[in-house]
Amino acid sequence: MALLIIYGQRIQAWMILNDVSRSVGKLKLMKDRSRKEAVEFVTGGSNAKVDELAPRIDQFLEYFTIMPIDMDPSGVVGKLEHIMTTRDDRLKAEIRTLVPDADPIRASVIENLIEAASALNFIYKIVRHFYLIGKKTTSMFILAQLQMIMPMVLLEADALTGAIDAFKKAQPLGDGIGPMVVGRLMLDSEKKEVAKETVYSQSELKGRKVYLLTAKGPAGNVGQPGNGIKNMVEELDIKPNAIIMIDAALKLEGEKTGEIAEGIGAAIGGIGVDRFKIEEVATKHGIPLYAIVIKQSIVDAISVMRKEVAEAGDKTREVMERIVEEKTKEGDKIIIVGVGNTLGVAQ
Amino acid sequence: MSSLPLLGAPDKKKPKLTVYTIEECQSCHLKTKRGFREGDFVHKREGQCQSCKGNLMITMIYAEPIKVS
Ligand SMILES: [Zn+2]
Repeated sequence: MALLIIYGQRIQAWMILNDVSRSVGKLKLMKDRSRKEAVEFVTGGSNAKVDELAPRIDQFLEYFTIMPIDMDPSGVVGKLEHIMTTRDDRLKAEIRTLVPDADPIRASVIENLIEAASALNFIYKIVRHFYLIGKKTTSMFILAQLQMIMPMVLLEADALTGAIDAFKKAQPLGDGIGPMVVGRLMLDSEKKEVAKETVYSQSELKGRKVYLLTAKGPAGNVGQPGNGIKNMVEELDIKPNAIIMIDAALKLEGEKTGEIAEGIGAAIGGIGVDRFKIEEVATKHGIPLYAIVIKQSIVDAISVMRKEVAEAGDKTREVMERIVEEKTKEGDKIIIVGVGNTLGVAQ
Repeated sequence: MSSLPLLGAPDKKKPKLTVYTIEECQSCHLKTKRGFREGDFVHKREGQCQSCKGNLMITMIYAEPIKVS
């Protein structure tokens, strides 16, 4: 008893340290595996190329992006978009030099793999940083904080690891449900590019003129739905009576995978540039924004699409058609957007 | 105190998933389920329906836990 009173805290600190160090080890394994998978995929398994290409890939994994300063927030979205586009272009150009003969699908897979591996690399480094500081300063509180957030960190890392398998085989992701629903309506009409890696087509639905927009599949693209909608409304002069957005959304723990929910607003994730643009166009032209989301966990959203999600596709379409009937009249124009990664989903 | 370490890394075994491709005939809507093959993608048109010679299209690709029987 006296031993426990005197050494209790030490024992506890030791247990926390142990626990955190195990998690750090796990993250390292995930990070190493993702790097290995990326290298293997890029080199196609040929050893001769590994020596040449692996250092280049390692360089990508260390790539950083400096976010624009937001002290003077006016115009910050434009800057953010500029930086993200530059980053994207640079990565794509580098991939072209790495594998000049890759087709668009393979190139997009490499891009996605590198993104996932570099995210894992980043998570690992940050966690390791705090772990080492905690150890060095023997601060139990730094370690305890790390231990508290670790389940969430590991969940995110797990999701990224799961994504790698889907990427490598170019299988549709849970996030691809929006493009799947909208893409089906686009099959028999001509597709035109309206923004970078973003296509639209025109069709007819319940007597309304519908303009369907998604990223360009079956390569793994998310496109630029923000610019797409903006160009359709302002350049192509399509003045829609409504915009309907279909996207995957994160479910809360306890909610069912594949559950469909309806709402109002721009249903789109990411860093915020697209949402900003869509909200701005919609506000400026007074266009109502309707949202339909298909719920799934973060792991499901970036791994191979789950059965429950795929089967929600038909019901999502019914919901969309009901919104079309309830909220618009015959002869109206509607923009319907399928938001998400189009890996393994054509239109 | 003894409960703390339990909060750590969740290492529950995840169920193994298999990926399936669902092909649907565009005329008679007959659905067939088969294992995923590399090169498959949703909305890929491939071949003819065995019962009515209609066009087949992949309508779904999804993962499902392997059933233990
Ligand atoms: Zn048939």
